[in-house]
Amino acid sequence: MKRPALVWCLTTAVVIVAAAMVLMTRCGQPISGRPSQEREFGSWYVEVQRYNQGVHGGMDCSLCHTGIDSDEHPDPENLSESATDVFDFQACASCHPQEYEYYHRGVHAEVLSGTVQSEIEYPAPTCGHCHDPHYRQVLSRLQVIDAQVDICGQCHPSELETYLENYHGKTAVDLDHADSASCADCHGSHQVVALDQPEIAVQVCRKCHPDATENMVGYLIHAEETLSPDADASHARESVLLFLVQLFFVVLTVSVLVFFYGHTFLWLLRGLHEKLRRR
Amino acid sequence: MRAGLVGLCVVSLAVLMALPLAPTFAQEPEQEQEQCWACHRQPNLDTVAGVQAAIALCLDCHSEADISKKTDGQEIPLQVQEEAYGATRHSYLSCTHCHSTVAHSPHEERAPLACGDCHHNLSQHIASGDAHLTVQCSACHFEPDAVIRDAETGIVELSGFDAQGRALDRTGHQMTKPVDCGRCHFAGNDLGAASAALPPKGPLCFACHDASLALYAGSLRAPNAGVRIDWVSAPALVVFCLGLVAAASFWLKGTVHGKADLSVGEKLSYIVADACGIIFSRRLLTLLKYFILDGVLLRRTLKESVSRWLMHGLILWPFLGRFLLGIWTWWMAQFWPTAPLTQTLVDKNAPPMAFLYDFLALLVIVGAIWALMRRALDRQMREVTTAGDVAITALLGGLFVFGFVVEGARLIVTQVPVELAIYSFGGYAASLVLRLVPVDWASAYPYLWWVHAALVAAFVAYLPFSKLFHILVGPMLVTISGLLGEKE
Amino acid sequence: MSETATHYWRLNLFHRFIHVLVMVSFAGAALSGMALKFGTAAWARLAMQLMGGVPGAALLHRLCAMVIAFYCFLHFIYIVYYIARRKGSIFRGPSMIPRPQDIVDLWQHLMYFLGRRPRPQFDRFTYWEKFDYFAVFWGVLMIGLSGLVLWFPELATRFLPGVAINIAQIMHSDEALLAVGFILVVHMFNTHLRAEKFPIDMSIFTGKVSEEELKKEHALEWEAMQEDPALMEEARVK
Repeated sequence: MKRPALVWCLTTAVVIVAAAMVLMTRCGQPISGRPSQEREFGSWYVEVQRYNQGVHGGMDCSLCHTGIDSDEHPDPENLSESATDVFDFQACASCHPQEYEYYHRGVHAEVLSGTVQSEIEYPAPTCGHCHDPHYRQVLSRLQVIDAQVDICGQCHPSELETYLENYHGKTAVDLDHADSASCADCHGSHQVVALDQPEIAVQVCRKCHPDATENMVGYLIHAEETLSPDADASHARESVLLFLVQLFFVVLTVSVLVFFYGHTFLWLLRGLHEKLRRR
Repeated sequence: MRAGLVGLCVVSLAVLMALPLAPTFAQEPEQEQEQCWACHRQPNLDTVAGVQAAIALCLDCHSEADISKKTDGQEIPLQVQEEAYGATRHSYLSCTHCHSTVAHSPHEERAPLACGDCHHNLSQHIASGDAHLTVQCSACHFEPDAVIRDAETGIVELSGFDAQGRALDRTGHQMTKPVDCGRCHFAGNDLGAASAALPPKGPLCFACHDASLALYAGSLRAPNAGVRIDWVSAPALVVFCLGLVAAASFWLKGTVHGKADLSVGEKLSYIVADACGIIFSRRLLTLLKYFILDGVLLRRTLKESVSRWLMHGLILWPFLGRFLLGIWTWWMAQFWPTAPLTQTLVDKNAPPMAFLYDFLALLVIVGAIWALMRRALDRQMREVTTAGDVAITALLGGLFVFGFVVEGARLIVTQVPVELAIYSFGGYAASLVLRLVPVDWASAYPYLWWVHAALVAAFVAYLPFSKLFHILVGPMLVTISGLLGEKE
Repeated sequence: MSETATHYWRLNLFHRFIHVLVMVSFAGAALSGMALKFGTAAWARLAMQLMGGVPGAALLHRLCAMVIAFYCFLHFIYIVYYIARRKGSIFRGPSMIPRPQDIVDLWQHLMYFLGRRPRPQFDRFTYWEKFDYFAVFWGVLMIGLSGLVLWFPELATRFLPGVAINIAQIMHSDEALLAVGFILVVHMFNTHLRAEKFPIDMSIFTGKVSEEELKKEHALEWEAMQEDPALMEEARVK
């Protein structure tokens, strides 16, 4: 083959391969190399062998599922309740007192008791929402990150979305960087806090960024870019500012590229036309 | 003394060895444990015993005569007759094979029935129109025939109540075959279905759509179900083939290999021999090169004029794009029906597909208008326009414009929400105009569909006799011309 | 490069050296940056692994940034040196400084694309080459400054509010996308892929341009050279 033809073929092949890769990734196939930790939440069935291999294995059902009278079970009245509503998480306290106490210092417990109002439609989580009660697995750091993203993200989807747009989320979740921060690293695992107070937030940042000043806390991990934020959203002004910045760059990029891609396209056609005529 | 010691040892040993056999008195905790596991042990649904255990768990409540739930003030019966279920085709499956999410707290169906887990092949349904992607399996394939459309999700599902508002018993688990399209496709339905069922898109439709090779749908043997026959495709294809034969017989009047006094058969055998000689040799690459460069990319036109090339390309490439898209979708649906990519390709309302189809059609229309304007403004009058040219162009233009009209009507009838419909921007614009006309579009839709189909059929039938035959002949000619040129 | 054709020097060793630095640092920074920006894509994950994960990519990215800072510094020194040595102002005669004629050239060139007029004649540096040159200034300024904020967020937020990091992230990411989108398509086409130059124009590496190409591409410069035989002889490749 002549050299130009070879170059054309190679270029086309590269473009096709690139397009195929883009298609493959944009079309619903799971990308993560890690197996998903699917949880059978609220299932009536328990896999006996898996249960016995877990840390609660061999323990009697009635140690946690207290007060079940075999004559009244199953009770048709209870059917519409979720598993965690039926289960009294106080049963966990007898073996896990420290975590139980930490939990009660955090904001999830405040929402549960009604001290704090939440706009989220789901009830506040208790132990069983995050920790699978029957099966225990030894998870790697990356699997823990995935699990947090799955579990916390169910009730906090917009925070999940903004986290995944952020450097910390991209590196931790998409790019297997175990040293990056995920939900519980900043917000705590049992004692969960919202981090809307700079004095507390800066302590959290300093876990990885020791030289952080309180100014740095103004950096938004859960940054939204919108022209019309909720009136009571915590960073409404910053959201508008970021939207305008983003808009400026989108307009700049699109106008420059549209103009010059058009210029290039017209030049390409004219060049091919002249070349064909010269043959 | 020694005998006594030995005897003591023997007795102790005997007692120790017999201990495992002795009845244990600490029964209650283990018995309780066994009571829990008796129901809550995960059954192995791949075994008969596991399936029966799972069914037994459900029937523990669902075999009782008075079991029901209250919805909208009505008691809906939930008792399943074990013998009746055992007589159905699915009797070897446990309840959770299909009702995959109900063995949970809270006890509710969180996902539709998992029919697709076993019944993979969707191509029959896709051929019947992708509007059926939002119809649940049970809505067609289940005995009780009351169907409703969920206003929020747009999904058509089995109703719990009949037309008079009485609760329906849906516990029979009888599957229906053949399916009666009239269950949804009747005049005045509120399901977003056209008032009459239409045949599937046939082979003619492949030019622009993801279609099928079917010329009818339904069972010819079952009179009740209603067969929908595609009346236009077959005659059009016959006339088209006659046109091809006419064209071929004209071409075969010429000389082959410089000889004129050969019979048709001899000429054909020369042609076939030449073609095979090229295809089964390295010259195939040359053939492909000319086909792609001259036939598809129109290099010879670019050599003449950039604007003519662009104009012609705007007509050809989007057309070709839609054709390849349709073929690709059909291929994916045949071999990977459950793949996420296939699900997207097949769904006309999926934003990328909706936009792409309308955008490509728009490009063709832009190119065609450009061509017509050039023709109208051509002072040199290099070409002669016959009545046939006007006819074929009008047919092509008509079917394109009508395509948008039908799409607009489809968006109205199937009640596609605005945020999705807007991606089919052409169809959406058409639907806005159509809405101004006080017509029941569900009743009109079948007629619109048939008009579009008839226009396509007329176009295809007339194509070999018109100038637009160059669509098919042109690429072939430039390829042959290129090959001949290289030989010299 | 045919043996008999005459060639002229167009780009000196310094130009070519700087351009190699630009090429390499741009490629490295673009690859490591885009693999982060599009981290959900399969190719990005693969690229990240090949670069040694996020730490490796970060190292590569910042190394390239330092190379960029280095060549910027070198180039500023060169500009000072060049202006000092040049006979005549940079605002007159052939130079990279844009002037109104460039807008005229752009318009005429577009008309040529549409077949309305013959090809215009260009001077030593065409309008697209000047755009390519100054786009680097703009890009390095925007991407570099925001990159510094992202590299040293603790230091930056001593003086700036925390939201500056968010702004820097948008600026850095979007400008880089513009730069990559421009270079890969427009710049590559202008210099190598257009019909006259396909498949590659070696003058960026050799520094030499043939007489034929000079007459075609930079006709006005050729005319000016005709009037100054000494200059022509000096520029000719022996």
